[in-house]
Amino acid sequence: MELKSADVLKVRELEFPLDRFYYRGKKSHLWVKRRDGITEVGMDAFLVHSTGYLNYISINTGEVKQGKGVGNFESAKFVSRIFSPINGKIIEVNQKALDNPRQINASPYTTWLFKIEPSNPQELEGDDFISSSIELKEWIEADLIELDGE
Amino acid sequence: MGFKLFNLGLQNWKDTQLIYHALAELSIESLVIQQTRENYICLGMFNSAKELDFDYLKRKNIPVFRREIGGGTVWLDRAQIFYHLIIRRDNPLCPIKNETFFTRFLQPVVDTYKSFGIDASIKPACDIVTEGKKISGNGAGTIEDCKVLSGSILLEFNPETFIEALSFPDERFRKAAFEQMTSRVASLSHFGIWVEEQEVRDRLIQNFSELLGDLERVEVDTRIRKTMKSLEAEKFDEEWLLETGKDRYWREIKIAEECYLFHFLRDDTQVFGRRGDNKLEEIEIIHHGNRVEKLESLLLKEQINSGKILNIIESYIPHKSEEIFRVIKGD
Repeated sequence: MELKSADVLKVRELEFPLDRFYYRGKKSHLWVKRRDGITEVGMDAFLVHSTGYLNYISINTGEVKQGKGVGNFESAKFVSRIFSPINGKIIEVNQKALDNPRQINASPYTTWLFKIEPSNPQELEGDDFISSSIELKEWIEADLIELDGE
Repeated sequence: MGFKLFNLGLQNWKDTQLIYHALAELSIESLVIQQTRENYICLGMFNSAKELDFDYLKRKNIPVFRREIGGGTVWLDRAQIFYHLIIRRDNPLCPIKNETFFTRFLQPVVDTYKSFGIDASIKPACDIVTEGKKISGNGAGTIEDCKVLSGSILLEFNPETFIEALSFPDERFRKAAFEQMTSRVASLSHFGIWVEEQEVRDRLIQNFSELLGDLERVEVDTRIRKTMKSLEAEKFDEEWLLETGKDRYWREIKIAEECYLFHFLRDDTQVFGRRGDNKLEEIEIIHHGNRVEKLESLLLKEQINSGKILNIIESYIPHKSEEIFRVIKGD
């Protein structure tokens, strides 16, 4: 389902749907969405933009801790870590995305990477999570400026 | 605190890999310069172990390691000077963009080649090239809170044993890989440059210190040794070595950034080819036992990212067009 433009924050050419949280802990750029008590996790547009074409992704299953590595992805000979946004248990991995990571380049917000059953359902709180469009805009703009400076 | 320098000289093959993993685990910003005593093969994080001929490796007593960072499968031997840079992700010198990471931190290596009279430059993502030949391959990745760059300067290079150690779907593929590697990869000796290893190490250190600041020369201490030891169990676990990589339904080998060989065989269809810079340089397609020459010539005319390739394949081999398309693009 396509989101209405009013529900999406646009920073330059990058889009950020406002129907979810964004995780920035450990310098991550992940989106986090709650659905029926389960947390879906995917990559945001900034990460996809700054990374380029994704070649490989791997995700571990089982118990995970916030800020600890849960997987890796490779783009242009560089392997980057994926850090878990919350504590819990990975109960499902999107095998289609792992088999064809370019799906994420094409549509990062409809391609979730993994689902976590959270240990604490109230956990999407604190400085590492952003949901307000004002904060989100500030964060993305700051990172884009850093990127420009490179 | 500035960067540490581990100028280690000759090390046993295991330690050449464990050292930079341990330094990254411990968040010790550093430059490691070293050589391996023994020959070995190193898989990138995602390379399939099926790329290797383990019977051959066993017969020749050639060990294999899987590193935690990117890049392809490489042959490592005494005639290479390894460099590994470990930098914290929150260091202001450490860029967000991987492309910038490579261009910034490979510059000291480029300058080292230049100081020997080689007009080297970076071919994105991370090859160093001159006169159309690859002279240094590199890989990088995130380990804990650090980013790590790893690569080598080739003093001499002979791909014969490496090619023998790889597994190929047929001997023609092996021969093509050997020919491409021989013609597209070069070492210092290829250019008539025979230098003391010490000289290469010194120039690398000098050039890296211009970027990183003064480097503090240190030894591998007990804490680092202990971390290396604890990593050993994990990194020499059979599951990590054999099952971490991603199997593709086709075989591909990277020779250099502008040279990938690929082979696909399923049911009644076989594809063999060479991909250059967004263009096919060679392609052979056999379908139902016959060459599909018309399709081959159409594909050779197209840019790979033009968007037309899929449609062209679809009009000749519709039931396998998606699969062949991915093979050609290499994604």
